[in-house]
Amino acid sequence: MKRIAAAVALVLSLALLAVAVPSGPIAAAGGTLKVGMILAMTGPGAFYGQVMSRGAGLAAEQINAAGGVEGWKIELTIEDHKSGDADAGVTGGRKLMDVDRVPVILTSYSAPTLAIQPLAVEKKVLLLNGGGVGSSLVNKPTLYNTRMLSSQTAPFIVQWAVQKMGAKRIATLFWNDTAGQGVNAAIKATCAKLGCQVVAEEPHDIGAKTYSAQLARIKARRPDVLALGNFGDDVGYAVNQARALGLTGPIVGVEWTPNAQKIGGDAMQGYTIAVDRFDPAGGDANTKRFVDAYKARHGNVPEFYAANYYEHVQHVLRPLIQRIVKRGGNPAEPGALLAEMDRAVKEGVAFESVYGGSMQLGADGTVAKPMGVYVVKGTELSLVGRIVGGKIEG
Amino acid sequence: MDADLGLAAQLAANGLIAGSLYALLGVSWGMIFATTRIFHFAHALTLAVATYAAVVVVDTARLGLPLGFVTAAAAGCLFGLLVEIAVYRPLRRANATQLNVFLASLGFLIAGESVLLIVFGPEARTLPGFPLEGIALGPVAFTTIEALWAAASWALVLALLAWLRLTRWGRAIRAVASNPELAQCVGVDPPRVFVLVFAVGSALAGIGGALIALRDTASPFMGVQPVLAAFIAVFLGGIGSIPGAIVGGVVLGLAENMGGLLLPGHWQGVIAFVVLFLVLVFRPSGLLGAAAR
Repeated sequence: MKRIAAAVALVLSLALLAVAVPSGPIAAAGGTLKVGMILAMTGPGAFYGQVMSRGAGLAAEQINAAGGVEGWKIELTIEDHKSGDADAGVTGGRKLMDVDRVPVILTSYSAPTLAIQPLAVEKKVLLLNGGGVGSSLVNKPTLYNTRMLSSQTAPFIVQWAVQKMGAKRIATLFWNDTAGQGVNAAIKATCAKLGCQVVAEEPHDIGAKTYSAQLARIKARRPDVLALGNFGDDVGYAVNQARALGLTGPIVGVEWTPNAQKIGGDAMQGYTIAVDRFDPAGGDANTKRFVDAYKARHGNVPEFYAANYYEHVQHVLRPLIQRIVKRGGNPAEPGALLAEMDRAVKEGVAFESVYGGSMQLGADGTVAKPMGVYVVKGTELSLVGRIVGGKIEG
Repeated sequence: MDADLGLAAQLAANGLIAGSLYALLGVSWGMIFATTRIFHFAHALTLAVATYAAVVVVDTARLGLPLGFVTAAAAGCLFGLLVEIAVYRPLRRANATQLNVFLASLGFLIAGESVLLIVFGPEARTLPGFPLEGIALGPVAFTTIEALWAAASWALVLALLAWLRLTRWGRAIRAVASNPELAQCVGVDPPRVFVLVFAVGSALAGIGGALIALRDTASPFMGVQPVLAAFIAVFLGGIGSIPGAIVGGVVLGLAENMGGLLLPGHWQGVIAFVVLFLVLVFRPSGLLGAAAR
């Protein structure tokens, strides 16, 4: 009887052990890799949350339909930072890291990204940001940005304004957060170098739809050029109201979206930006594959926020998982993806990009992508200058 | 010096334009609050729902802007009635406290915004059809849409004032707002008056929403900011006073914008609450509160 009891106990113990330890050699042969996302799913930026999640979701669907990456299927878990609320970001980040135990989080907006970064360092979680542009997102351990930051793009728009538009007096209207303040600081610094003067600096709340007081103050300072440091729909509202208020000089910025174009309407004519621009009609085979699949899945042309998060899953995480599995590792293990990313960056690995060609991530967490100066003609952007080696050509 | 005068004139014009809309929304919310004593936070949802109804008629069905405004008023009216009959009336019957009713209203707003988000998506929707032109009067510039904001708001506010003073139903509303028990003694039925103020106030909110969407587009969360301004206008002017809500709206619009003479524009929200704080400290009944009663 004692022997039977011992045998039963042994069988049960082995069964429990098998259930309790899903990782190790079995898990390394494949499984489900949880990918966290902290996006603006509600609030004034809900549009971005939608397109970002669609981009990442499409890549996950494609990978899973093909049997996964080396047997690893992707499962997305989305949390809401309510359009830039750092506290909501931390709540979502804690849930993803402590409950869902994700090894990677795709983030957006500067404030929530910065708020969860210390937690990510503690938990060895890789952070990929494709939306926030604040200059303070540089040199943050665990954080890699696949969108060029304001400190990288804003200087070129000032350069364009001074050299091509003859600007001597520039006024700024910008988001009152890390991203907007970063653009404003970069504009001021570049202006100081190029000999122009910033005559008015007007911050505004994210998602504000009325800029009457700010624009009246700007108009009173008689600027040659109005430089915007805001993003998303706010660009359309600001341009529209600036024109209505009688600001007839050139308006420049660091962002353009189809939705902002729709909001700004005819007032957007001539609006000029310097960006790392995703062109759905250009690029290469990767671009076409992504655009065709996105159109088939969602019925419209993807814009660059969708492209950035598609890239995260399809062109950053996929090769990282492949590298880990090839060296016999387990991508779901805490810290594995982060370590592999650090290693890949150190080796100078170029990741494929739907922008055309490849993207190079730096050890400081910044990315180098094709950049240019574009102007709105009709309802589309038209390339007027390429940015190569820190200089504008064109 | 010229630049300063020009700035002051522009800010004053901006203040009057914004104040006109605040006055319209202030009377629409203030009439409901003065009569029913319900802190109707879901008014913001009424505004958004009515605006989306107008967007569907104008932008999707291409039936024209005038019909869009009629739809906004009708949808606002019906939605306001729905909230009163389906949410507030059962709560009153259950003897819910004012706090319970407020929380129910807040919850209804949040849930409703989420439904709008699911149904219409997060993209901003335009309400096209009104010719947008710039108008310059010396140093002051504004748009044809902003001129419409001011003209339509004042026309509606003055019409409402006349209706409240000259018609039997208008007098019944003022009676219930002033003293519901006494009004009942002279044959006024408060529950019917409640239905009436929700219908009229919500229709006005619907038109206000459509006016906003002409310039700023429609989005699921578009109602909160203007209705918050309406609350402040009502408390500034004096609870229970329709003329007070009008004055409160204009004072709020001017204070927010004229504050730009001294402070950066993004302090507008802070200025609004500082003005409210000062008025409540030095004149707790509001600017016209005591006089109107």
